[in-house]
Amino acid sequence: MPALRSLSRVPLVSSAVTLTFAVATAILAIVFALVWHILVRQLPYPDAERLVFVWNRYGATETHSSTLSPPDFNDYRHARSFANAAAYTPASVNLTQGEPRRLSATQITPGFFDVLGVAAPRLDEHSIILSDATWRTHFGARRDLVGNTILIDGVATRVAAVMPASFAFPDPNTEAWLPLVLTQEDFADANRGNENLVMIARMREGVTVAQAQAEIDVINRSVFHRVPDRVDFLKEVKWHVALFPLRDDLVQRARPALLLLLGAALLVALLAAANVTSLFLARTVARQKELSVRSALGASVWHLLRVVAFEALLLASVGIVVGLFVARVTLPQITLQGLPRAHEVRIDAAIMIGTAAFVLIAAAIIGFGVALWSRRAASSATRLRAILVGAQVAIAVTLIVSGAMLFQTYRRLRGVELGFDPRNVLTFAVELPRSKYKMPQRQAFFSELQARLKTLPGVVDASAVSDLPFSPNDWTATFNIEGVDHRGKVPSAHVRVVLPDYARTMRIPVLRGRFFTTADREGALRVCLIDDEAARRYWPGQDPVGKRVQWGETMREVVGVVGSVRTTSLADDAEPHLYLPLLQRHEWMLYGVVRVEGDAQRIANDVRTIIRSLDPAQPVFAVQSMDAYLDDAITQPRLRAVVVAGSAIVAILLALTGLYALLAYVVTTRTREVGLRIALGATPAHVMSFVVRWALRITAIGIVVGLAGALVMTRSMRALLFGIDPLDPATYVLVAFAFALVAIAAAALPALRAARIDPAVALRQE
Amino acid sequence: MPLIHLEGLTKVFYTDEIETHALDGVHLDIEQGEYVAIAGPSGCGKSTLLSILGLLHAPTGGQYTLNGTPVAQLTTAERAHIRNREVGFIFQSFNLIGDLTVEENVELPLTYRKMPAPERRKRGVEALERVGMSHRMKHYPGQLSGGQQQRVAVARAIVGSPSIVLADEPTGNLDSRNGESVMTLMRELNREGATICMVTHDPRYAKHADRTVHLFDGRIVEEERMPVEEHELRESGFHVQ
Repeated sequence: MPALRSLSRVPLVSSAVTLTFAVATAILAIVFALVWHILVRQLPYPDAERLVFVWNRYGATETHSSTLSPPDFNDYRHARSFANAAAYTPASVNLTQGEPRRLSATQITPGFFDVLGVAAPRLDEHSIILSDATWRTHFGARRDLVGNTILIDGVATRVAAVMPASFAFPDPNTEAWLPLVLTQEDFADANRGNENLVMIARMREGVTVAQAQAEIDVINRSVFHRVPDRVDFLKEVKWHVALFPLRDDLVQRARPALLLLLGAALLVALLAAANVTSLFLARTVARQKELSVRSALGASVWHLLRVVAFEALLLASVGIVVGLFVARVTLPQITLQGLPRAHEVRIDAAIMIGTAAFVLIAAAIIGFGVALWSRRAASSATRLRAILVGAQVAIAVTLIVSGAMLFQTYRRLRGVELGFDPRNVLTFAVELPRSKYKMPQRQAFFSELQARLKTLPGVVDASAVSDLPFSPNDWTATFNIEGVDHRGKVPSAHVRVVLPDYARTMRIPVLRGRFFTTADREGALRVCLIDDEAARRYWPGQDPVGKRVQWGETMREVVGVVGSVRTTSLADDAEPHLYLPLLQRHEWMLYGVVRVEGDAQRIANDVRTIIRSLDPAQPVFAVQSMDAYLDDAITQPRLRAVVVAGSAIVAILLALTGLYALLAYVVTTRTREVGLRIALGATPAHVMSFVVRWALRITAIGIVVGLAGALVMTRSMRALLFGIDPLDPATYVLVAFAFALVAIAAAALPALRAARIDPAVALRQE
Repeated sequence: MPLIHLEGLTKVFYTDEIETHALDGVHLDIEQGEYVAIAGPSGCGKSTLLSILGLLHAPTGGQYTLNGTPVAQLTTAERAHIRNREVGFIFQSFNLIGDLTVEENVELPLTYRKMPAPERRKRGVEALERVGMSHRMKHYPGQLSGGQQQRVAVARAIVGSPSIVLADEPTGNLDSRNGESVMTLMRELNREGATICMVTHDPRYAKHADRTVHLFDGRIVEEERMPVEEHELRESGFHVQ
């Protein structure tokens, strides 16, 4: 094939172009797969666009409690807009067959699978549906399991079905589905404050979200009539109910990061396109003589265009095959932790065809564009290449500034003052089965566990808390302060139920009053603690110790103030916290916290042994260091920083390669001019400075345009930044200066080559 | 003392273990104000001799003294410095830079002397006036005829008031009319005091010089001086065919 022979004569250019196509294809395929499977593709359920979440929303408090209470669910499930509706709530159960294990489960109302349009049997009281993974890992994929019983929390439970591997709702971590039986008693208005249900509904065919929302709003007006004693409160907190399409709701947290990723990938693809164009221009200019001969022999313009474009398509095809292979191998190695629908992401036929078409169209445009442009003078091609390199520098600078800011955001988030010391703390979770442990037994279990943990060698302190900082769970509630009219602004706080010594174990300072002791138990004075932020916000200029708050139906006395802590977001300011003693509360699940000397993980097995000694059937789960939770908390910022910084590195490499290739090309095409300048008295320094200045001129224009682009980009991602101004001058100046230095480095070799040109030889060149 | 003094000059090129003796013991003196032509067949060493005279290449052996300074063993930067001040070049293919205007092309050697821009401009205009091209200062080379381009190249060669102008086949790319015109211009420059050394293989143009040095296989094999009468006729402004 003539094109292959022609390309094989310029192996360096052909390899560079193929490699660039391959890199661009691999990056695009991975990013397209992420965006397509997470953001764009509908959920894998029939008519999934008709599925919605129904959330409670509160506008006036700082709380965004968004689940529904049973009576709320009862109000909306019969809405005419819905073909069917269901509710679920996260739960966990203990598989007490063989080695005790905790299963992450979801309790579901009847009709849950009907809403999703998935075939599954109805669950009765003592039945369970297992996930495919659970069936395989815990039961060795036993064929006879369905219909047989297993022990769940010590109770014989029938396995009703095993779901297919593709089913992962509400999330891929769900290991089992259990029945949630709601009675008329649960639907009583008295339970309106008990918001623990997630509601999903399938809208009737032809009904829009807006129409369904309008009907829900009408239903809500009737709620006001039915619960007159709550009307003031509901109005104060600007309560409303909002419907969100299932897919949009599931992926909304990941949307900014994925769109950022898509933008970065497209910019890198643009850079790659600029590089390929530049290389093709150089090649086409170099073969002008051959094209002229073809023209003289009768080739039409169209034929000449095809000759050049075909080469581009040929190299692109090879690059696409390599790139798609690399993408398929690489994607499974990339950690997608923290991304919704991550289990659905794959390089499938649609992604491969889409990416290949995208790259081929780009290659055809480049090929024909280059062929058309090359009909102009060589100097015109050089100018175009200079413009392309300038554009590459601009894109790279934009990405570097953005990446630098996201990286600084990540760094600053890591350095945020937490209010507690996460180092050398081992955490674990224990959830006691309700059927087995009544309140005194629960409290006894946790107190004994705390006492035994403290006896372990190397343990400094041990305690427990209902919701660990930065764990997936958070409990926020409103409360009233005795004697204060909260019209318009109801106090709210993150609520944590703790064992004594929690503050000491976590190194949270007690600022006023005291921490809980074992004396704060059932029958004693009802007490609570607040943190400094709650004191500042709700008792400004006062000493809150001795003041009383109404939480639920109970009045509690504030006995102390502890330091503020961050528990849900590193980026947000510390929020108010309210602490309650475990010995005055009903809790089944607690996170143990153990401060040790040295590596926290080394006592993990001792913890398991102690729990087994307390109850051999009791599983322990989520055994990990406190630092691991913090690592998870910064997964998204880290992902964003890595994505943009990674793109920036690729962009720098492409831009510098482009700059180097351009300078090498210019030095080659202008050898005669350089020789002349030497003949006229230019010293090696003059010649080198001539090349470097030329490079710097292009780079400077690119830097200025890139900084302007960065201004726009960083302002648009203001919400993703923490502790750094999008206009931070130091970052802009540093990036500009650094890029100029790197550009000089890229120019050094061509400049040196120019300085070594033999003028006598150069001047004899035709 | 002659302006240029060559003594036993040799130049050997080494390619793939093959030695090529381009110049083999050349002895040559060129006096201030002299107009010398170097003639000979292709491959005789004319261009090599010119590139050594112009300090583009260093000789392999022998002595080269330019304006009293031994220049055979200088560094690249030192050679560039002397070349810029002492030597003006005129090439067969003009070698004007297409992106620069006529004025900028002419001023180019002066930019390497860090001469202030007004001074450069003044001297550039003077040089262009001397070759009759000042009316095309703002044009680009591509907008000029071959003859005009060579006149601009001559202006560039003399703008720095060099000790010697080296011309390499200056009429090679010109038709006979423009070729004659450039020859006349060079003669005028010589009459005004410029020392010129011209390489040519065309005997018609060699006769414009005061002296013709014939080169063969890297050696000077013959020197020919213009008859005194002819010289005097030329000095008095007559054009000799």
